[in-house]
Amino acid sequence: MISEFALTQLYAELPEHVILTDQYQKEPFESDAYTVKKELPGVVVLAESVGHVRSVLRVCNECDIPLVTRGAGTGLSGGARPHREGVLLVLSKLNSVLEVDPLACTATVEPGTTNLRISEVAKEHGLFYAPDPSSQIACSIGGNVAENAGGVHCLKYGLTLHNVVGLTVLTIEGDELVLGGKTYDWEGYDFLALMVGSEGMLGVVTEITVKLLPIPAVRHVLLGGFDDVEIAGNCVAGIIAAGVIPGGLEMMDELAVHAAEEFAEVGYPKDAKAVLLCELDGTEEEVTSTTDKVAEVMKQYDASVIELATDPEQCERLWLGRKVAFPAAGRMAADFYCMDGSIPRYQIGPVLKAITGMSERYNLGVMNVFHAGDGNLHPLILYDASDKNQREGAEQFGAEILEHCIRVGGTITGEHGVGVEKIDQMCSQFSLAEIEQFHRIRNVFDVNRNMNPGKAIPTLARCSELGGMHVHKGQMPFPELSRF
Amino acid sequence: MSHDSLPLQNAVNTALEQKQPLRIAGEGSKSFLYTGDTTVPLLATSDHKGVIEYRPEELVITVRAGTKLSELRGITAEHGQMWACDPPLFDGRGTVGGAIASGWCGPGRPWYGTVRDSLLGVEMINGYGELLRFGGKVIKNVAGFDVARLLGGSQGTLGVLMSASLKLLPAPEHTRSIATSLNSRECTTLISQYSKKTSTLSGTCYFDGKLYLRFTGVAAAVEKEMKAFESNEEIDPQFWQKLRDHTLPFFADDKALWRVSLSRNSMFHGVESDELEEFLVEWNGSLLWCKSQNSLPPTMSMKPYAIRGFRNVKHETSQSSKHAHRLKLAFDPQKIFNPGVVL
Repeated sequence: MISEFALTQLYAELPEHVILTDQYQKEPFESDAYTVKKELPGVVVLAESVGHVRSVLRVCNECDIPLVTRGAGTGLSGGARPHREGVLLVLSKLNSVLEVDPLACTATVEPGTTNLRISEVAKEHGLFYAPDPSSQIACSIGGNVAENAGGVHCLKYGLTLHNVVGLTVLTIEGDELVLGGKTYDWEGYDFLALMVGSEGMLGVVTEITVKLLPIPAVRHVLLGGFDDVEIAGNCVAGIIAAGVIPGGLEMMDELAVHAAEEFAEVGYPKDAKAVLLCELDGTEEEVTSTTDKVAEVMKQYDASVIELATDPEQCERLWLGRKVAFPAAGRMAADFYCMDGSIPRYQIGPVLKAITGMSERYNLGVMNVFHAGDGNLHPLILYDASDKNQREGAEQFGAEILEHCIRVGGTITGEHGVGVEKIDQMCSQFSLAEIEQFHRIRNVFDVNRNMNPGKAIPTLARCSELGGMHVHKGQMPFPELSRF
Repeated sequence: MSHDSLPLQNAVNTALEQKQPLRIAGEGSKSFLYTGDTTVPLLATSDHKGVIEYRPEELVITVRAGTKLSELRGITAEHGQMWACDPPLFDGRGTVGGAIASGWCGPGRPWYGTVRDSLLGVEMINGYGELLRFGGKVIKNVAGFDVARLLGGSQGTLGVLMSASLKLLPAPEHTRSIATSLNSRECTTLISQYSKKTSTLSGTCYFDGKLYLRFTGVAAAVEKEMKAFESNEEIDPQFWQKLRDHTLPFFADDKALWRVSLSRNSMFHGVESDELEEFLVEWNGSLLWCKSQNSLPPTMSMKPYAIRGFRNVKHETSQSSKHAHRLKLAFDPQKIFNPGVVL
């Protein structure tokens, strides 16, 4: 529970209707889309202005209580899981588009604006906002900034980091930082790069300026069906090696293809062990040339089926199966646990094989549908949460996948963030000295460590407790690996 | 763990014990930009060089900081790839470490992004003498704060950069460059059309009444766009390298040169002014180079800008100077790296 004193302070600073204290009002906020670990917030504040945000920051700082910021609550790593003794600051009502500047090709918006809305308002100028996480219809841009969200089109157009050019950030100590803007460079340290992906631990973003790009004139989608998952994985590396950067390059394994077909009947080759979807966009000449190249590479890798979609309707149909993959997975099992490891592309084939082996060992199904071009895996572990053994098995299975990603030169999270979900694996990926450096950075903005405590960066004690395999006398885990 | 980091790590630890500040430099190609104390001993990273890992099919290369940019260009070009942010070589000796520390990039900045955009991971020595690794060598990585990218443009104030993993891009298969005589308003009209459509445009530069344009990409796409410029003068593509490395005649005299970063929407039409004696604009009108003996013309200060004096170095007080100071101490509590350089 939040202290009476802090609550009194909030009521003194804010209108009553933005403060939610009753259990039934707070329950919808007890988790984000990572529902494994829930917590009832001490109090919820639905901010309606930047002034409200300032007030909340001031009260949390003066009363020395935790502050968790939340957007749409679609995050998959528990980054917005509330704190029982703190304030949950919800920014979804701060959703105005403040400006679209067609000459600069930028849009300036409030953090609660949904990702998709930016592209909608940019459309009349022939522009769009490129990063498109699968939750883009609901997720807010503030959350995208906090998690450095990705999506299907990040292979060519970059992550949130590459598409955010300016931020206004309020720190818990009451400072306002105006970072970046419409210039291409600026004085001082790149605090903008530091803020993106900082999981709400350094400040609260109140204004975001994003880069807009011209909507591509032409778009093609190539589907390739393969008889072997590993060969399909190698084909991904082959496409990139041929000098093509597709707009999107996605892979689905046999189970995912079947699930999607049952759900939406899009006409994927059901006998294929893996399907690649490759989107090519740009000028007409560019798309024609790269489509030929990719089709040629698919042939070299013995694709059993190659299908080309050139009109928008056909393209949509081919994408539909990919888009319904997650809800389709929901039909395959009572629950699924979506992982987010990132690996070098040349490891896709071998890692998928390893995951199949783990699946047999844990006796739990797994479905793979992921951003192959980025080497960003999303294994969906199928389980039944009401069965304690399966629940624990799924968590262990997931952790083993992440450890394996580190082992092959990858990372524990490509685009979902660490949150509470992967906090223990941080101790595997980083040395104590590196984690201590993260804490020193945190202190630059929040010396009392009240911003989103318990998330993203584990305490040194937690890493030490996790056991001898991790860090010994400053030695990195897996010291023989260069771990870049 | 790369054992060859020991000499530099030992040098830092000795400096920490003796409380002896150090000035970090690669080959010194950008020493004219250095604003710190030049009397302190030099910590040279130039011998810490070479490729650690290069997998062309991954579009990622990991190199030691002392590797020369010219060498990096050669190696990646063999595989038809490039480090797209294209940092200046200046006198030809520029290193990867120097390019990251300065954060400077070439004429393709608006299309290809900046140095930090392609920085996937780093290995560094902080002011505690610890060898640390941040980021990685994969395209997507959101584990921990993005320290790797924070080092872009940090001017060696946070630690000694040891090696970096860089994202590469396929080099364009075809390039054409032309020059056309236009006034600045006509430049704005022309270039603003390109910002709304998919195009192969990847370089613009305006000075002396001429607009220089570069088109790169798939041959058929470039050639199609070139049809609009059939009557214009074809120029040597070396122009863009000379622009990047400041070897164009424009940069050849000793007058004070100012580098002004303007808003992305300022385009070209705002720069012609009686107060500007000589100027050159690149990055679609957002980067202005101008010569002025004393201070900047007053009209410039009316615009939204970030400014870096080039030969006459001028520093604005950063809005977040309190946090900049704290960040410096978070990495380098004894302030031994590049004393006098303040960001």
